[in-house]
Amino acid sequence: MSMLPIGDATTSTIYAALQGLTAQRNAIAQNVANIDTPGYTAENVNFTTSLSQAVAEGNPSAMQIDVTPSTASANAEGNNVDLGTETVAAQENNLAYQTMVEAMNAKMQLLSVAISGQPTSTGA
Amino acid sequence: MFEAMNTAYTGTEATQAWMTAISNNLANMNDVVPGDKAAYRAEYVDVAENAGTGAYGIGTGVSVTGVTLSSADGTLEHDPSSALADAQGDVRVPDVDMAQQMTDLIMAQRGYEANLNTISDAESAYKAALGLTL
Repeated sequence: MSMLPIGDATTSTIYAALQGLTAQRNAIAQNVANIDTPGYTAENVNFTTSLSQAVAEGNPSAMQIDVTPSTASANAEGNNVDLGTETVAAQENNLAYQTMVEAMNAKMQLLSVAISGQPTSTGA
Repeated sequence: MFEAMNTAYTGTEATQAWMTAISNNLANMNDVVPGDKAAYRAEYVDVAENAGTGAYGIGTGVSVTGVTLSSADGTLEHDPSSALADAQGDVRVPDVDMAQQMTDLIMAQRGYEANLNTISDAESAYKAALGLTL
């Protein structure tokens, strides 16, 4: 992940968070698709700890996305995906993603005002 | 970029195959044949996670690897009054357990709906991204 050409720490942080949330969404999709696959171990994505640390160090793009196998207990076929957990994770991911997009829009509004003196229309 | 949608699509394909096999089993569970013929063999769909990884090192969904058939012996029943009874008065019926099939059908439906939810969640996320006024 490289720095965006126009942007500062805020933009880079939002961009990194969007990447982390996309990875999380992919893992949720993978777990749900394999909900009945024998012997499948659920995948969990963590990026928030790494992101806070990277932001504290002043380089948000240094965030690492951690994909780890879940340690939840498995059922009789060796599958440990829990539909309840995945559903809740999907809802949270959706809300967080929308929030990050709103934040990015707000940031771009500020940039637009700074450049042209007038805000762009949001079209929302 | 649309990995989540593709992955969920593979999930719907697998659960659809499962539901097709179950409905085939239920439709044929009363097929009676003479005792010297093979009974209807119930179908069980085998699934496995797709090999390799996609973006961020995360897997790329599931696929059907084959169909396992149950035993061709079925259950031998002695029924001389049946029109299909063989010389010994035996007929074969398939060993399809209706309760098991109905349970599997519920699980397959649940899996199908969960994958559809993933697709619509991914769609709203992508739509939000399209709303970025960059």
